[in-house]
Amino acid sequence: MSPVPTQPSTSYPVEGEVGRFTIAGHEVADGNGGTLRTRDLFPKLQGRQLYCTAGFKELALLLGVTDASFRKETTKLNRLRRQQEGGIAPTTLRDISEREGAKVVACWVATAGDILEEHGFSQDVGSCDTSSRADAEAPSVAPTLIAGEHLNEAMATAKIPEDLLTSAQANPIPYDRPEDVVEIGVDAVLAKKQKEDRARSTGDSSAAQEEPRKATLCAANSDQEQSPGASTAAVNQPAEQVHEDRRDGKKPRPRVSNKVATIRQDGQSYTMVAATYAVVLTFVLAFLLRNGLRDRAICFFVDGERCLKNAIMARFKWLSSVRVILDWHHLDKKCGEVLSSAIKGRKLRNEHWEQLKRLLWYGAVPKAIAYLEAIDITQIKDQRALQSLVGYLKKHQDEIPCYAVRKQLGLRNSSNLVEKANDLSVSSRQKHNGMSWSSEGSLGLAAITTIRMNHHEETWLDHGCMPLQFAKAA
Amino acid sequence: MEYERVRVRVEFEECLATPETNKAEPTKVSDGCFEVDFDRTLELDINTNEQAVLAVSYPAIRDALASELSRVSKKKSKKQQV
Repeated sequence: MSPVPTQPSTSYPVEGEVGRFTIAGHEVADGNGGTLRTRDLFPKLQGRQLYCTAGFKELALLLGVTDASFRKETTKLNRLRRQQEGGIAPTTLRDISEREGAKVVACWVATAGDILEEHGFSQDVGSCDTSSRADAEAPSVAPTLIAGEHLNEAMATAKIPEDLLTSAQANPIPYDRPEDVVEIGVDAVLAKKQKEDRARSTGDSSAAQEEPRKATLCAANSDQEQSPGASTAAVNQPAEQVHEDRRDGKKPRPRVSNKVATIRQDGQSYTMVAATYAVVLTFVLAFLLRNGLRDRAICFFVDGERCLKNAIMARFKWLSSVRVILDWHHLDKKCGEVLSSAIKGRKLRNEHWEQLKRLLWYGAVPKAIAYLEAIDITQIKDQRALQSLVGYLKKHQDEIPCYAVRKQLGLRNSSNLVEKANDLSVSSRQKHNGMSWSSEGSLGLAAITTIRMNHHEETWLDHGCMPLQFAKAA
Repeated sequence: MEYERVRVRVEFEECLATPETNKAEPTKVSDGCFEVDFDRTLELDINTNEQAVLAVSYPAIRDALASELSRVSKKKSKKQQV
């Protein structure tokens, strides 16, 4: 393997499915004292850039680096193309994938900008304030809600306990017909950040190899507990985060954070990634507008990150049928974790946790808060932790539905659609021992992976565009 | 309508060489062809045949692409000049 060869300025380097080769160039006098360069007949390249053919991109990027490491993929490519000498190097392949991923995101930004402009919004993706569009763009027909006989039947089937029936009926989150719902999952996914400069190892490798999951949970908790004032900044924060709330005193490893959104409707799904919530939610808005989905019930599934709710409402509050649902699994887990810190003894903790789960499953949030506030002081280990859980429930009160009835009606209670997308687009490739990423590299690879996830391989390779549409419709 | 046609024929031929002069690696020869030699005792070995054909094909394809694109771009430049 060798670095990109330096060629005379007129030659044109190509990275193809058949290997790397160079088209010899010529300079022809143009008759006016100037020269025509044959290189200029091909797509423009910058610096030492190579032209990558569609076949190469398919083989090396879509079917290559999205599954295997750059080093493994380089070895495979050079072997397949019979070019062990003078073939591609891992760093070149990494740079190519980073550039290609950036092109995908840039394509979304441009497309979203055009769509928003068509609909009269500001074209500035990432700072799109939609509040002014409330009158002009409000849906003409609100989706029909499930009510009356059908709802009573579902409530009966859900076997709501007598003492919670009134609370369940009073839960403010309405029930949309499943066929009218556009399900949207939005979440952040973290990967280890590459160090700017690598100092020689002094044997302290434990911090570098800490379990990514542990830090992810730690990060998620810190995000969830942000004050409302900090939320706006967090929406636009760059894709690099340093989490400093570790209790073991170790210096935490910085992380790169990608924001993932998945839209699902009528059995089709579409995944997008960006560096910030502001940008990815703008892609979501553009997607809804392009596909005529704004008249549907728009249902966001979130994990409780406070800034996310604010970001969603900043962009979508002008739509009448927007719901934000707190994922049941995250809610349950949060209660378990906080009660562990707050209550003396595992047995007592489990008893309170069971009671709390029962109340929250039926959407009885005020009763859950009252239950926590009434816990006997002698059973409490950490009053502050208990208060934080009360605060959490108060903050998320309008995102906690009656999960039991939703389940009976066939409505989603979980954010697993975006958790799955996180796994496919980032975790499965980027969260392994010894792997660390730059912000651009991580986002680029995730963006390339979405080409396959969205089944837009042909559109991207042939036309270089990523339509904000389901593959069937494109 | 005018088209570009691509034609390929892979040839096998018996030849004599010494271990010092045989072409163990794909080599471009004077007539523009690429050649590689392998021991005739392996002429029935499917794997050796497959690898030899692939080994000589890829450099030949790269060379053909580079030459053709260079030729066509030169022709096009000259047309633009006219």
